[in-house]
Amino acid sequence: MKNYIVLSVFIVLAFAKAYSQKATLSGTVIEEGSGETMLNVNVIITELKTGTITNEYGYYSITLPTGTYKIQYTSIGYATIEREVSLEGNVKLNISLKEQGEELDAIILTNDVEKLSTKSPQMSVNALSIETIKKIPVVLGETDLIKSLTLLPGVSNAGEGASGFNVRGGAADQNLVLLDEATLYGSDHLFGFFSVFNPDAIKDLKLYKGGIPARYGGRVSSVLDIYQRDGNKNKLSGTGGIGLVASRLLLEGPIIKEKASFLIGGRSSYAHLFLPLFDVDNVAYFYDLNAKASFNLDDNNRLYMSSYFGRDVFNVDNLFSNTFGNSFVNLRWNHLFNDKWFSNASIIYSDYNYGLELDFVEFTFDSGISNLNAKYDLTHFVNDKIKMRYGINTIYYEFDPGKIKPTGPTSGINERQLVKKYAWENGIYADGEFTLSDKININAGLRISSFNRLGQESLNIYENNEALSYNEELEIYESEDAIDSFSSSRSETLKSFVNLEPRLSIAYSIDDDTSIKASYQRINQYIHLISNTNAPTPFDLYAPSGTFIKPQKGDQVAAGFFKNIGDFSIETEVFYKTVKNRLDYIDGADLIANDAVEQILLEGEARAYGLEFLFRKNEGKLQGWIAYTLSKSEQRTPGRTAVEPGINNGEWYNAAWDKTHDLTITANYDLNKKWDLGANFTLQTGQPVTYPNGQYEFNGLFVPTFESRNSSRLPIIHRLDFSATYTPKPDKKKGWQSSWVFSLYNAYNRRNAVSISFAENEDTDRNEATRLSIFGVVPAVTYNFKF
Amino acid sequence: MKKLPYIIIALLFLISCSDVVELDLNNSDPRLVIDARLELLEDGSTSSIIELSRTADFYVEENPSVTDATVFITEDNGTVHNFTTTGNLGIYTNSTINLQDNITFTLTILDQGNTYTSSEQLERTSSFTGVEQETFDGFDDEFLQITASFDDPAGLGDFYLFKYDDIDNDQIDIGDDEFIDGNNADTIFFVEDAVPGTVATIKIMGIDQRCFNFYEVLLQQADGGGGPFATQPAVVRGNIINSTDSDRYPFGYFRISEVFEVEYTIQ
Repeated sequence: MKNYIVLSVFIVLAFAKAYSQKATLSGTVIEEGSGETMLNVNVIITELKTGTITNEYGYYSITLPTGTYKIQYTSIGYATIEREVSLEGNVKLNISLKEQGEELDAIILTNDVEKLSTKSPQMSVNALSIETIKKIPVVLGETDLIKSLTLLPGVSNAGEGASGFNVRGGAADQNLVLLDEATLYGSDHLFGFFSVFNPDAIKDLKLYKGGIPARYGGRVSSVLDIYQRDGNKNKLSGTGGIGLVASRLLLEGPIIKEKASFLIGGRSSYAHLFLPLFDVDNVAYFYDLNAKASFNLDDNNRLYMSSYFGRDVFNVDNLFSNTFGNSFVNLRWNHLFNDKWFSNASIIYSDYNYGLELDFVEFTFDSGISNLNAKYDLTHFVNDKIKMRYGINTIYYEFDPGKIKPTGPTSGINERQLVKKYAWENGIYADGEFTLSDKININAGLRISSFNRLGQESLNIYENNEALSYNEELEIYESEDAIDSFSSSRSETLKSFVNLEPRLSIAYSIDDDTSIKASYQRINQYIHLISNTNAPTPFDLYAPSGTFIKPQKGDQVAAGFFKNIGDFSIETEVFYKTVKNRLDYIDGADLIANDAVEQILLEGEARAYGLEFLFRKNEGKLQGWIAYTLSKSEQRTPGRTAVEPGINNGEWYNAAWDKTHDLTITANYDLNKKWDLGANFTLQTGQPVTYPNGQYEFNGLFVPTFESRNSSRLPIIHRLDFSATYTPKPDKKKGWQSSWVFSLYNAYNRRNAVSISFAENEDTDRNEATRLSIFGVVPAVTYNFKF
Repeated sequence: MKKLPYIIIALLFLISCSDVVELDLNNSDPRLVIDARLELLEDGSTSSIIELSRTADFYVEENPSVTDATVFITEDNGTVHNFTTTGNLGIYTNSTINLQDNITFTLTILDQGNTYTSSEQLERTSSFTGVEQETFDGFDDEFLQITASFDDPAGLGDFYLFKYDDIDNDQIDIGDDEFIDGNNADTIFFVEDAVPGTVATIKIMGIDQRCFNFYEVLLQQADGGGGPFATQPAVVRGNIINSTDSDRYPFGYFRISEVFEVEYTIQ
């Protein structure tokens, strides 16, 4: 009996604690002046040593025991705001943060903005503020998000002028690049010299290298999540710049004051960019357009429309013209059911298009990939210890390998549409952030992904289902001809895959400033970039998984140690990653306009492991970081049977972007109100290459014979860059404000090799190794303005 | 035609600079290189030439030719045609072969204790229907575009090897009929520094798919590779095997082609 009384008292107490004395504090954080919503703002409840951060739409919600609290709102670069809140019932508190100008220095509340991040289970994230990115010296003075990210640990690329980027040894097509939630299929302009993101239109970016939350899926290596700004809700303003390579102009302003805003930005490089010496009829340039409109319908409903359109254009008189790029349109609706339930619904159309016209052969070639993506995400701010996310996502793809059309009556080309392919990808997930104790935080999630390859015209059928055979006598792989083909309706499923993707991250706080974290992720990738070059090219196309191509399956474990010491922070991580069913190609595979890629593919595996170290100074006049990565990235494609050699005799070989050592030192010094100085030093192992071990002549051609794949290295790469930003009137905060950015890329003119080619010199008949280096010392100046 | 998009990539590197560097390279054992070609000419006669040389270290300028090998070709019916060589160029010839359709010719080469063999049949082709030229100044140099046309027979599966020769230039290209099936199609050569009056010879040769694949890899590798957009270096395996020691496979190819040629005087 006594026991029952004790038990019922306990239950009543527990019930009371859980349900009767709690209240929710919620609201939106915006930037003062522009009205722009702010994401990742820390909301700290000082007394309870707990807190939350604003989500992608500036919304926050935290449920606490009733009482009176001091709440701090902090974000790097903004003056911290502290409010006392008497939380007896639910409170809605919208906050505007003021940009931290120089004159505010004296009144900044000292607060460790990084404190929460050591507690958060999220690890393996590279975050850079757009302000930091704009200060980093870059080649030709053109601010570049992707190049800036490669200065952080775990991110590299296959060399200067190579497109794409590589995260923790992954391939470029294994990165999910999202701009306002829309998938981009290429992140570069002009084959990797510039990235497609107009820095003025970007609000924030985050690169997830590991511990990827369950709300993301579809690419095995990383997620680059970029958000565009909403536009100034209070007054019409503009931003722009004039550089050596490109100019940009962005206008933003209210449609309805404080309620609705627009943003429209354009950027274009100058024509003839790379062809100044040649005939005026030759043209090479890129441009992109960003547009966004946002509407605050009421306190609980917001609507966004964002879009992007970017193209690269090449035109050489009498020879060819070439246009390619990404575009998307996205409609989003934020809805608050109440102060604990936040939802977002999106409908996104995005595509990548590649067009080529060859005048002298008289044909055009158009190919691309397009998708329609519908998403619904719910966030439930349960209490100060639990935050849940649920969501569903469905993507319909159309893969168009190309249409070839003759352009004139004398053309020898037949019109032909290569067979279009269709697929339907789905994801459903649940994901929770749990504070188990003062010391342990967990983020656990599960994603169920599925992929249906849909019916198409003329799907090939092969004898024994083998599209590729091995000729034992000649020791070569040979494509098999299809014995038959069949067509089926798009409503039919040809092949389907369903996979479970568990994600788990754990943080253990040793003290307020120190934590250790560990994470595991599994991700399946159902679409594959068909590319057998070192870095992707614009005409490489994605192909869906199906009967002949299995989905890539990526697993990664990572562990790390994180510490804040005053103004400094240290992040160290180790990771190990494997990818199954990574595609490789038989020797001499022809991928262009190939209607049956299964005839040239072999499946292999990839693995990468490494150590990352980041020492960062986040505050003060001198800011910057030292980043070092020690890593290995390899690939292997064994034969399917004992007699087959596979690729490279089935042995592991280095990925083209593998860099054993990668050291970057980036510093920014705030000299005075007018001058801001930046420097950046890079030291890397050269890229893996395959050198010849002999040569012969055949039919008048000079033919090298090669050692095993990627077994040598290009010489060490190192480079020092400087930048200086001059603001003539730093105190001017209204009207026309301007600044000059001077930069010096590769200051001591190091000739870093991007490749070494081997050929016979036609004039001297000597066999020569020729080093190609792209940028020597490049000075540049950019004029930026705001009004 | 399919590799033309790569031209765009070439543009990019115009802003770059290149220089010759000295590199220490690994060396592999010398291997036999075989260029064996039996050609049925337009007048019905057969040209039978087999060139033998060896691979050498990368920096060697003149590769050694092989002059002491035993070379013969055997027909289905057992007829043996012996090849002989004179001088030190490693060129072996024979004048007794009469190429005909559907007869398998087996090449045998005995060299340094190894036996190399390969069997092929005659591949027919079409003759040229015309040649045109066009000057265009796309880049800093003036180029001449020489276009030779031929009729592709209807039905897929025709493969072509083209060769252009003049006093300064020597180029090879390949073609298939995937996109031009049954049409009057072109082969296009871009020629530099060709002065009017220069006589050029353009040849069209019939090959099979395997030979087409071989040349495709060969042409990819022949420019020396390198760069972010270069395809992976690969060993160019031909259709000749070393039946004594398969690890020491030879380089090169044995093909039997019908050949048409046209002489063209540059205007």
